Amino acid sequence: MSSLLVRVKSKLFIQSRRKAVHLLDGEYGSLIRGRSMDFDDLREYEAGDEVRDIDWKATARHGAPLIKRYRASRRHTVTFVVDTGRNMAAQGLGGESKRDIALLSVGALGFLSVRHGDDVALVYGDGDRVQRIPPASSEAQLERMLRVVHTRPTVTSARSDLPGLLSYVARVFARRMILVIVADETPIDPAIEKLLRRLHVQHDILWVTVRDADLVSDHRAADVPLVDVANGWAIPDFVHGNEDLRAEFAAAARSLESSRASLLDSLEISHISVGSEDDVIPGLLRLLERRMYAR
Amino acid sequence: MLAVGGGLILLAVLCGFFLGLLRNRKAGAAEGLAVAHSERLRSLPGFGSAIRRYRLGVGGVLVVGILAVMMASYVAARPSASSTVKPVNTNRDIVLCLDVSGSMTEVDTEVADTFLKLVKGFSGERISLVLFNSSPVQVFPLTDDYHFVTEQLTRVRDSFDGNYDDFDYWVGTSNGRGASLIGDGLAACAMRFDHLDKERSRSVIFATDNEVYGDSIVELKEAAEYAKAQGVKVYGLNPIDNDDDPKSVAFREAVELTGGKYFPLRSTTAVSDIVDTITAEEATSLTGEARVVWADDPNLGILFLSLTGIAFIVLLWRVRL
Repeated sequence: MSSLLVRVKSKLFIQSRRKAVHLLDGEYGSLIRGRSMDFDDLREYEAGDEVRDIDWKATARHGAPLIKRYRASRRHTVTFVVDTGRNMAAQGLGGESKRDIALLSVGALGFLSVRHGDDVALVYGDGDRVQRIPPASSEAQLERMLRVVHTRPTVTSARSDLPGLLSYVARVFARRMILVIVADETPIDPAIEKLLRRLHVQHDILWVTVRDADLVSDHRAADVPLVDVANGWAIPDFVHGNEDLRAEFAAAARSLESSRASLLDSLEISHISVGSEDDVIPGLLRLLERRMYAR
Repeated sequence: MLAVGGGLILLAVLCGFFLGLLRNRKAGAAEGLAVAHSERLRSLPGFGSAIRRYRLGVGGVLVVGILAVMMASYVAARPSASSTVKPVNTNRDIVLCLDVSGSMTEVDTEVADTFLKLVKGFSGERISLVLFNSSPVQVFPLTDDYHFVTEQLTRVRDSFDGNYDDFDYWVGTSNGRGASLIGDGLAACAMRFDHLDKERSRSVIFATDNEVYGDSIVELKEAAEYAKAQGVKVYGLNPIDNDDDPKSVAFREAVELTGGKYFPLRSTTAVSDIVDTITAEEATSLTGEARVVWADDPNLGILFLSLTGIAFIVLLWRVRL
């Protein structure tokens, strides 16, 4: 039953032998912005911290601003927003299916959340229909979510529709949540940007970009043609092995990546992009670290 | 024929068209690795130029392929070129008709020597040797066995030189009554020719001093007329020519009657030169009319076929169809 979760856990623990799980586990706390009266510890001030959190007495003693940290006690809801349209059945940058990368991202973060006692929920869907799994905090819940993430996207599924998913979230949820958006390299167009601005007001957003496959092979004649899931267009053989085109494609991919990064930065959305399953755990660690300093 | 060819071409084009459609339909549900956001590739300007280059390549393959097929059909049609040739006929029959009376051996030796040299260059010519004094003797008949001719001529020449161990040149030449019966000799020589229905050049090289003693069966004039009737030209060589001598005049007239030529031999004239003149004249008279000859001339076609074929394969390889 819980085969997918086992898979995630094994990745999580095997891949991060070096204290990473500890770090992930510890830094997960920084995900949570809520405060309780339970004092935890002090840390140095970072830009963006709230002034009322400064412990003035400690700061006077220390010589530099210190921030009081409280243990979060509120039960939070971590809602994963995952595209399960046919785009996610396509190949990722590392050669794995993008849904497997999405699965590992959702699984790892979801596992930490569940272990932390928070609720996890899932919003998923495609161009035809957007659905959700309501919040709950159990491994069975997580497994159910993973199952959806893993089985829904096929090449025959409906087209991907990220704006649809985001507007669903904007429409349906009234509560403040932590949103983890798992998307592929869909360009963030003005419509999505607008939705993100709207959602950012209400929620805490994390963005995981699953990198798309390299479309220009470095050797001639691919054995199997690459076919676009969106329209069935097979990439013509003659582009493979074309070094100039390959370089141009790589440059375009880099500029797309950096423009997405700067856009998300300007929206104050923490983000990572992962190209393969191996990238996921280190990527999440980086994401949580970044948040720790930012908050 | 043209209609059949056109129909075949139309059929091939239609076949290609439908095959392409079929393949295209299959490509609509193409199986392969699923990827997303192919617009990342399609929006690249480099992709557009790659497509254009590819189209250019495919067009080039098509054009070069058609050119190659055209060249192949051109070569297959056996292109030929006409050329005008003046065939040099070598179907000459020459009878050496040598008077072997006492005063003639020197001339005879020269004639034999000359022909020994000429034989080396012969191909197709036939040659015969008749010796006569008071009676004609055929040493060998008309033959193109040049080895044999050389052998016989050598023997006769040696015999003229005074070496009689092997062969006595005069044996059988004195059976008539008299000496130098040139009328009989010429007639006998003129009768050596065979295959009179065939178009060959027939000539007699007739060397004699024209000093007739005794009664010949055939007069010189009669013999000349017979030769003329047979289509035989007689070339006369006279070592003791004298314009005032009626005998010499008669000899000349007889020879010229047949269409041949008369050569007075004087100390300065070499027999070889005369023989060269005769054979050259014979060759000229035999040079046939200019004929138009059609011969296969595929070289240029094959060159272009190879070039277009190689270009086709190289392009095919470059374009990776």
